[in-house]
Amino acid sequence: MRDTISCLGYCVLPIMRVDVYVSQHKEQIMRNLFMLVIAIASVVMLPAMAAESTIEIISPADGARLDVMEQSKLEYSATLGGGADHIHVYVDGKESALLRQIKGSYTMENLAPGNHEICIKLVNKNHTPIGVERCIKVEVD
Amino acid sequence: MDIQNLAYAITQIVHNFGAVTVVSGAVFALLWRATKVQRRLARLVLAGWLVQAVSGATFGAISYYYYAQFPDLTGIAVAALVLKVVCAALGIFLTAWQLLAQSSDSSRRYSWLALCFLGILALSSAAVLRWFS
Repeated sequence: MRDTISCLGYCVLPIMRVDVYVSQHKEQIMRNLFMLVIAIASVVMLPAMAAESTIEIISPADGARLDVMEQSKLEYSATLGGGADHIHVYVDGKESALLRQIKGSYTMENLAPGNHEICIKLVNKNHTPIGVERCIKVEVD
Repeated sequence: MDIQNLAYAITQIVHNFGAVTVVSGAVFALLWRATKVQRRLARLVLAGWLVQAVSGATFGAISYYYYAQFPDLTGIAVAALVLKVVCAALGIFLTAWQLLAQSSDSSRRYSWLALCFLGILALSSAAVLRWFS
């Protein structure tokens, strides 16, 4: 660690002295660079070892009957892992919202009377569904 | 290491440098008017637009490779993506025209102005595409 700090300190020396330093401390620099690569790799690998992605619809329950006159709130909870970044909400197969909170609620507006399918999907940073989703069917009357 | 994220990150790096090239190349071409310099910049900007198009498509390809589906885009995001594709197509066309046609100084200048505008528009659309879906 001290070697790394001292190396970083020397790196800010005037450019004329850098080549002299490099030729004198070649092995030390290579060792420190190797350690740096290991450190970066560890940081990159940590998220990969994180928990699996999960997503749940807390309410309404599957098969619930909703009142057309009342605002319908979708409560959800998710665990982000394995490339998941945010959540897409779909009503009858059509995307209706993008949610960045992993737990919360979303007000579904203008649900017409009748049967509807509501799905929430975990997607990656590129907006691609990663295959973790929950769907419920509700009846609005 | 998460290979998928690494693939996205490398593609993003290439895409970003493509964006820098198309905008800065057009701006420099407006400042340096020597024909020789402008031809070099036209080649550079053409390469930049091609890189933009290929790396942009690669984002979709990575998604398809890992999840067997393309990014789920609707509304504003689709409009932003279409705008980016149109900008890239026009950018490739205009730079190719600059290299192949014997155009006058004034028409070349208008072309660089248009390329500058297209670059800025594509960059702005990218931001919208990133945050909307």
